[in-house]
Amino acid sequence: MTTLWFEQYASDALYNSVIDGFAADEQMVASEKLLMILELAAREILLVETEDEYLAEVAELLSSKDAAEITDWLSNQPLSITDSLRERLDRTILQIQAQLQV
Amino acid sequence: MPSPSASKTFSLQLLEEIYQKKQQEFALKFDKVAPTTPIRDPRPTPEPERDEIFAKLEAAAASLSIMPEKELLYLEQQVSDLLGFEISSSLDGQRLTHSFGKMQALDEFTLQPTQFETVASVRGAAIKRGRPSLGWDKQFLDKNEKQYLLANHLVLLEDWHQKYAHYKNWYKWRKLLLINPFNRIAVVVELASYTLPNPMQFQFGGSPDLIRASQAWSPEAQGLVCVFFIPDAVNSKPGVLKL
Repeated sequence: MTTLWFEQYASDALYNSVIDGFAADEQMVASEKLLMILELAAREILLVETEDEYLAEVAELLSSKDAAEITDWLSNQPLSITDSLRERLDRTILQIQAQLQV
Repeated sequence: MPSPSASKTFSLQLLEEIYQKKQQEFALKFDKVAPTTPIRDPRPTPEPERDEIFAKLEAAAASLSIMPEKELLYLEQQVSDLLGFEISSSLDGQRLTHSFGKMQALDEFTLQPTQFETVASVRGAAIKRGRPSLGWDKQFLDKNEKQYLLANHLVLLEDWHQKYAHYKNWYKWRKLLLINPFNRIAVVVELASYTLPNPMQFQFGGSPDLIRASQAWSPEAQGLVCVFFIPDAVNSKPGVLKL
């Protein structure tokens, strides 16, 4: 299965804890949907951290979904950005988990 | 012993709702910086049928009259097929004051307090004192980006005086499709004002970029246009579509 560019920044344990909460026959769909939410969160944090003059370029790169190119670009970004990305993705999973438990 | 199914409590539907909400929030925040891509490929429509649809739109725009409901629904369906995405004259039970009418060429819409360096209503701060009718613009405003903005005199809506607070939120930045059927140009626009300087003579107002891009004041069109809602607004970006 192809790894998406943002997956390496999300905690597997947290991710699995949400997916395990769904019925077995719904886990596949839930997994796809959760990944879509995480991608939005990842794109959001990267766009927020990007300087205005590069916004359009970064938006285009992120929406291309080209994992190799995005990973390469991310590897050249400051550590603080990838740290923010990790923190934000984990927080998003926890928020979704809380919303699903209502 | 199999684990009890009661422990599997999460709802897929709820997850879907969360996703839809996040997607809408994302679109609202970053619409302006998303790369511009065509909405969808239009379906091939035979030339005589295209001519017939445009003739109907031209007649509706020129007559400025209210079309019978059934006829309007059929026309909407035909235009949706032609474009490849859905358009509608009403959305969630809300309508514009008109779907067909004449568009006034307006001045640049002032959407940010510091949009124009020459504006200095508040002394020394270069901030314009008067807010636009639907509030200031979204946070990202690229000065070089074309702004396809539309005004409609929503004050004329029957129950505006009772529901104006709700309506302001609902109509603000609503994506609409403006069609100039005479020159066969469509522009995805955003509703940016609910007042018009001359609502008795004009049904819509357009920003300079919109007037230029739609060729609404070409000798053939003479300002006559058709305006529809785009239900799938999340996937549509403001821009010009050649029909």
